[in-house]
Amino acid sequence: MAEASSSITEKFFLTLKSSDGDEFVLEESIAIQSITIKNMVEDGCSSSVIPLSKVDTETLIKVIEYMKMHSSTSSNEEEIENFDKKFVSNSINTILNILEAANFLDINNLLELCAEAVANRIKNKTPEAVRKIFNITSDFTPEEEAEIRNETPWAFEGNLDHSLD
Amino acid sequence: MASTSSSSSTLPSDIIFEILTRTSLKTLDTCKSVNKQWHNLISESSFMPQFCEKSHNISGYFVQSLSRSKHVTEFVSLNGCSGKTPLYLPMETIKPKDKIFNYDCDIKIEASSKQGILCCLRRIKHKYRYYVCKPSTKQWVKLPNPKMRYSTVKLALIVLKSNPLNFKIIRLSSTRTVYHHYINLGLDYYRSEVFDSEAWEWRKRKDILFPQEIYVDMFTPTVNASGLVYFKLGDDLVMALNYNGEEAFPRFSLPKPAMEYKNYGYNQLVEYNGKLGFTCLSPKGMELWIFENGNQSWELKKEVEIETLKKVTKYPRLVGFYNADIALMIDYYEVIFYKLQDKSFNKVKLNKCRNNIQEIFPFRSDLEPLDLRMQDAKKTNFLVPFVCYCFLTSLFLLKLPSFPIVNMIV
Repeated sequence: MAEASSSITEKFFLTLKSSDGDEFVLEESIAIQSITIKNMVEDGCSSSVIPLSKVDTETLIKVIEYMKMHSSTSSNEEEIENFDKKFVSNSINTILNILEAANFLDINNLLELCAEAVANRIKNKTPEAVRKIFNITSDFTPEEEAEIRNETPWAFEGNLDHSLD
Repeated sequence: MASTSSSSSTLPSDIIFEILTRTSLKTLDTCKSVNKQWHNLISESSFMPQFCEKSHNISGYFVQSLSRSKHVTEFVSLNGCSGKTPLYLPMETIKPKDKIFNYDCDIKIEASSKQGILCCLRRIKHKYRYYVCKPSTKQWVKLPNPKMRYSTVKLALIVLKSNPLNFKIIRLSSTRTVYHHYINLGLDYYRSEVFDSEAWEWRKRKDILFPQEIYVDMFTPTVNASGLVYFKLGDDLVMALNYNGEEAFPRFSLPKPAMEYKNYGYNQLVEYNGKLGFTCLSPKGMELWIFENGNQSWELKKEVEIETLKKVTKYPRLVGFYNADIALMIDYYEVIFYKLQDKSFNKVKLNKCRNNIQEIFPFRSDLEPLDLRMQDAKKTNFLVPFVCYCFLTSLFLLKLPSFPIVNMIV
């Protein structure tokens, strides 16, 4: 009897709800890669649906994909490596969304992977392109900006990349 | 699309921090101009150690001292920013023959950059040679010598482009004779020369004239800031040269109020947030002044309390800002990193530079090998017309005579 109950708890499932209202059922052992979810489970909120108000469906699908890959015992290192490579070839906007979700869900590996990917993508880009990618506007006056550019001429010369991806 | 881009506009600053600590030195400098939030993140005191660790860069200072008429250099930095690999100066190129005879040799850093390269002067017996090197990758390249019959007063190194590398060296030198053609005007002069890596040669610029009693202070470093190179002159003046080795605007005085202080002599030009700064001992401790290029005037930026520091050293000099919050202080024998906010400090244990510290060179570098001599690229450019020329002449030589020969045979 005791054995039977333990086997039930081992295969515990959680329901994650995205900001768009879609629900995803996930094994607890996979989901607790996220420290945020782990804490929720430990606090006993796991019986009901876990609402993730900051993560939309598209992003959540990707995050779950990542967590499944990185938790399954069947996948070897090479597979994981290939998966990661493919994973970061998503559009930079998608990666930024995943990065934000990883930060919210507190999944350190995913955060590092995405931060590294974004850092590589913005290498040698012009400040204008970086601003467009991150959708931010400059709050420098033209004079201030000219002065900063003057400080380090090497950063604004050569083959800079204007593309947004 | 609209929804995704609007969400990224509100990225929390710790995510931006995570991204920026993984970029390159160059991208970091580019990203400083994105907006104020990014600029401040990069200047934060916790940024550099993380950046150096995650993206394998080094950031710190070369300390140079003189011991038995030989220069000794050592790299100092905060924990985690000095890198794990040793740094090399172009000393190993000395031929075995010179080593056997144990010739007297010396290597001296003349100028540094925040883009990974140094300009050094190497001496073997009485032969002097200038080098540009990348210490983190053990790369160096010999430069043609400038006019060595003029003695070097000050050198400045500016990196204009990284890929392909393009740098300039400004050299001020003085004549060894007192009989020169400005003597009748009652003036003294410095010879100005600029080395441009694209041309790979030194070019003479307009002489810089001085009243006879004024000289360039040899022991204060030059400051590269806001697109100009600043030299401190005796007589409390500052001279600003552009990258062509010409004076950008009239010489200007150091901050007037600071001159009244008793220990004013312990002063220094520094770079602060990309601007020209001036630090000196003041009655309250230490002052930092910033030169505003726009209105050509000094502004008092900071007063620094150094009570805790006074216990270890009596006349500290603030020689550099590691970042907005951490200053590098030296006196004759000590190098100290001082935190302005909580007034804590840590003394750097020097292993080699035990004597009188002469100069400090700010330095940042990545660990990527660099094509130091773009001359090779130039050669290929030169080769294309050369090959064309050979081809055409060979055609000309082969084809044209062939007709008469063929005719003759026929």
